[in-house]
Amino acid sequence: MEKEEMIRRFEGVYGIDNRIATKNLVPGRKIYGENLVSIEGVEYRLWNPKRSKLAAAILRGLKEMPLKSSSKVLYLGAASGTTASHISDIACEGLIYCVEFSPRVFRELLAVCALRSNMIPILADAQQPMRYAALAEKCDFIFQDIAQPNQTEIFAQNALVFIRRQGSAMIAIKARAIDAAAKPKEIFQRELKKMRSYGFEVLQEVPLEPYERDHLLVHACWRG
Amino acid sequence: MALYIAKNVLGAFSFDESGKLVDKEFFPKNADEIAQKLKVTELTAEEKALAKRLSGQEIIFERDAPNIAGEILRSELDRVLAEAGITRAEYQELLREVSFALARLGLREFAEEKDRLAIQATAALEDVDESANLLAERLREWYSLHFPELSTLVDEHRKYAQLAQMARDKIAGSEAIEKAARASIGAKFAENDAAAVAGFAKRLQELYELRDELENYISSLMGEIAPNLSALAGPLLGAKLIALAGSLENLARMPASRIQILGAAKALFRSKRTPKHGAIFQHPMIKSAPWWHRGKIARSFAAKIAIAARVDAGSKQNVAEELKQGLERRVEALKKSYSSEPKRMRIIRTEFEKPKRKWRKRR
Repeated sequence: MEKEEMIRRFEGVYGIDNRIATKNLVPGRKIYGENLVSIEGVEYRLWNPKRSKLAAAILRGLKEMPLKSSSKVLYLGAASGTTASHISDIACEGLIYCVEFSPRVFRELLAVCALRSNMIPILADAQQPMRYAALAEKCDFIFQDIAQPNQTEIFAQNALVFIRRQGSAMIAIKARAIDAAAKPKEIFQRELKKMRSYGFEVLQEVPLEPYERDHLLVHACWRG
Repeated sequence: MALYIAKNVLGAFSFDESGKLVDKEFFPKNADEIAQKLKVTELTAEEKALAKRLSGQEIIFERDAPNIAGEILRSELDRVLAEAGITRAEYQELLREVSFALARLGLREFAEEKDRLAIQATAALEDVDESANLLAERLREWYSLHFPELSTLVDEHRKYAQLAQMARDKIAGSEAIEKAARASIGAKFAENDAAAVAGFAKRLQELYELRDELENYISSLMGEIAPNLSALAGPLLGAKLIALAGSLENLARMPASRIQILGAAKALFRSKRTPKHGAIFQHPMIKSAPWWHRGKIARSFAAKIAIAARVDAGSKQNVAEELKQGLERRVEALKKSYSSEPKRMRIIRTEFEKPKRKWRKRR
């Protein structure tokens, strides 16, 4: 994709050579050992598609990504904050609620959130959105990357509580997490059907090969 | 007209069905306090106070599902902030502080290695048992000066301790006991002598009660930290295994073969053949099984325990039922295929030379 085209399509995402990058919200600091590039006095963080599914989706032809600098984002499965930090770069004037369940990994996320004032750490199980309902508000965008068999149900439950009307959402579906034995294509079809029945309108499906195996990133819109 | 109450980091708010803000109750402006309030699932004092003020009307709180109040708080936050006289920046600052405070609380909870508590409690239980037995023996000897027959009649130390607090003629027990009391050859105790031994017996009884408390504590602790292991092997045996392994994580890392003989260290190092079972022998499933089943059951049991421990160490799933069923099936199968006692082989020495073994028998 051409640099200009990318800049036009995705606010906050820049193309440098053949890679993509985001503008560093906290110049001088790396989050996960990524490369920093300075161009005309502005520092960018190179976005690694092998470590971040969102980056992989962008490189694999994601058509729309409705993140703006003022976006409020709910990130389910923030892990150590790799992808979340790039979202934080993009939504530099917005807010990212980062939900992560595992305490070991959450510790690292906490450090990232401490560095960036637009990231809010939430140590909770995404299967129980009411547990953090008092903390977060309705968001413009939900991003989910959780490896659980009931991923889609979790997605829907959280959308019910936290998505704005006409809000947008993306979920990275991991076929193996849903059913380690069945064919990924069948699993994806089933999950997409479920999503539609829950109230999502599927806008685009992006397979993430070669960056991830048997993963499908789905961009959907919440119809309620 | 129902009223809806929900909360956020600022406090509790109530709205009516049309979305009008009816009343509010702010939290104290202290991040740690707010975190404490938001952490629990029970209603906060502020929500209760609000509800009280609005008594007479139907109140709907936000607990398991979103309600109108929560929806407004989450989607019209700026309006609520204006009512509260707080800027967005101030709110976000508070939100950050509260979320970090909550994070610290959450992490601390996980960091409290609860299995350490289980290990200490188990050790304490063993100490109590040892002490109780020691004291029970002493009590028997002492009280037998007054009522020697009781010791033979009451096997259970606990019951004995209870009865030994009274003079023999005041004991209300079985016929045999009362009869023996009347015909006892023991000495009569003066008041202060009786009081002395009764006091001792009472302390012993309290020790048994302490034992009960410890067991309950261990059971509830195990239910929390290792529910599958607890359901499969019983909380006490489970705790014992964790103690022998050193931690739940250690236990989870062990191969089933090791779990099978945890607690049999002495037997291992004596020149015996590898023991069939260690601590798990105590479980009724093995203890009450016929001797030719035990090794086989121990093996299966240890395997299931290994799985349970791994699940408990790593996740919050519930596999105990399946594991138990698998085990029961195995035991049933054993009953069928190995129903009769195999003949024990006895080697009879004869006058002839023992045939030379080509391989050395593993000891």
